Parts: sequence; C-alpha cells; structure tokens
Amino acid sequence: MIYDLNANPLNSNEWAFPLTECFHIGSFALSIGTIAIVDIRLLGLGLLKQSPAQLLKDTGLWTLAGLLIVITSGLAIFSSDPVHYYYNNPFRFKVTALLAAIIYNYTIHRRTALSNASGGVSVAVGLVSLLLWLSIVFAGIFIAFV
Amino acid sequence: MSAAEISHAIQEVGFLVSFRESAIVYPVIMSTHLACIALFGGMILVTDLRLLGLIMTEIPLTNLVDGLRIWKRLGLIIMVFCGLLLATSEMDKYYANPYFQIKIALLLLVGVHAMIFRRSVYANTAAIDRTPVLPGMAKLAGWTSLIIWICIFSLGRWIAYYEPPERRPGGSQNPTALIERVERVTAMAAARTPGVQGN
Repeated sequence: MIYDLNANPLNSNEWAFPLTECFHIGSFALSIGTIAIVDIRLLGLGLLKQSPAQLLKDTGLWTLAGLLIVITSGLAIFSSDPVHYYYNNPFRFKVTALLAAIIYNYTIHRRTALSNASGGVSVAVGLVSLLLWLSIVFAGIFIAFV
Repeated sequence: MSAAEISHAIQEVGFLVSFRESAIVYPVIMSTHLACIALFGGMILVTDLRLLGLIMTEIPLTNLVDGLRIWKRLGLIIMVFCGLLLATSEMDKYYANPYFQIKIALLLLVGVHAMIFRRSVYANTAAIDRTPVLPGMAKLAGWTSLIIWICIFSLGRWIAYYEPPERRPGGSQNPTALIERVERVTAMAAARTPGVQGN
C-alpha cells in the first residue's frame, strides 16, 4: 500500500499545518522555558532564593505536558512529508539530539537539580542542558534550509 | 514615496541584501529568533501561568518576577533584533502582509500591557504575595499577556502562508521552506486535477 500524502489533513486543509506548527512552537516554549528556569538556577545566574530542587518540582509537570504536545505535533508534521524528513540531515540530527535531551533531562539533569548540587558540576549540567535543547531548535529551522 | 517604494528601499540596503542571500547567517538568525521564543517566551509563559496561580504557586511571585526580569528583557531585545533583521530584509513581502501588520500591532500592545499592569501587578508583587488569593488584576494581567503572546507567535507562523493577491514577477524568493511547502502542496493539488501537471 502506498501512503497517499494528499489524504493527510495537514496537506489538504489550509489551516491544519500552520495550526499544528503553532502547537509545536507553543509547547516547546513551555518545555524549554521551564527547563531553562532550572538551568538558570543551576548556572547560578538567577532565582537564587529558590533551590534547584524546588524549581524542578514546581515546573516538572508543565515540562512533561509540553514535551507530550511537542512530540505529538512533531509526529503530525513528520507525517505530512515523511520521505522528505527521513532523508534530511538536520532532521536526523534533531531526532537524535531530542532523544539525548529527553534521556539527559530525566537522568543527569534531574538528579543534579534534586541533589541541589552547586559549583562546577551544576554549572556544567545546566550548560549542557541549555545547549542540547537549543541545538534542537536550531536543527528544526535548518531542516528547511538544506 | 509610497509604502511599497519605502519597503523596497529598506530591503535593498547593502547588508540586508547580503543577509537575505546568506545561506548560513539568515537561518542562524531565524534559529536565534526561535531559540529566544523557546527560552524567554517560555519564561513569559511561566510568569503568566504563575499570575493565574497555575504553576510554581509555592514560590513567591516576587522571587519569580524579579528573578526572571533581566532574562526576559535580554531575550526580548535579542528576539526583536533578530525579528527586525528578518522582516526588513524582505520588507517588500512583509509590509503588505496583514498577519505581519497585526503582529506588529500586538507587539506594541505588549508595551501597553506592561504600562497598564506595572503599578498594580509587576511592581506590586510584594503586596500580591501577602494576599491569600491572587487578585483579579494579577489574573487579568496573566490572561491578557498569555493571549497576546500566543497570538504573536501564531501570527509569526501565518505570515509565511500569506499569498498576496498577485505575486510580483521577479520578486525575491522567500528562502523559508514554508513558502516552498505551500508551493509543494499547491503542486500536489494541481496534480490531483486531471489534465494539470504539478511540478
């Protein structure tokens, strides 16, 4: 059976694709924004009156909700033109980095924040987190430019 | 001078031409624009949700607003700077785009919003923290900011899908794949119609 691109509502309804993109952007802002709040604290650059553990606990649910929406909308966008994305190098990088970022976020990043670590370790963990997530955003844009 | 002529003059400024034609700088600036939306737009979102009492309620509003203020300001400056480069480098296309026009109007509304709620909310967080329930003004500030910002980033997306009544011959090619996507989908639709060959 051949997958009919035209049957995908994202390709036949003029509202569907941009609307899905809006969900994608709104939800990655929510996830990356909440993660960045923890990272800024780990880096010692702000919110110093709160502990990293408290910031993580208070944002965790929203980070997860954002991730679920960003992945769902991302899969929908992928389905609109799977072959194009499959052979796209920035897309391949993006998926790899996303998997790495999610694993990192729920292991090393989480453990470091919950232990209220400070100093070099916490700075390194916060920096890696920010760079990992931002590289995904950059790759997402570069998908369209290769 | 007409708006069209002014817009054309703007986008023909030397460094904007090289910016627009750069295969690296243009997408890097666009990525930075999006990265700012992720980091600092996310922080605005969190502040709004806190004003609505939906997130970080155990943390005093004062600590959150004061702690994020400098980052949100810095982020807004970088975001606007990148946005200005992106828009002015293709001013021909942007100036008559209704989604772009509404987006700019809403960005100005953000300034109005800040002025309206400064005294009662953003510079009044210590008093708000002492009240047992979040005051109506705080919630109003949160809701309006949330709605305005959701509209702003959504309009940013819709800008790419606007097709002017007549496409100018010889106009600059929008390098975003979104326009290309529309063209691809249009071609697919054309391919569906018997006798018309899509490319």
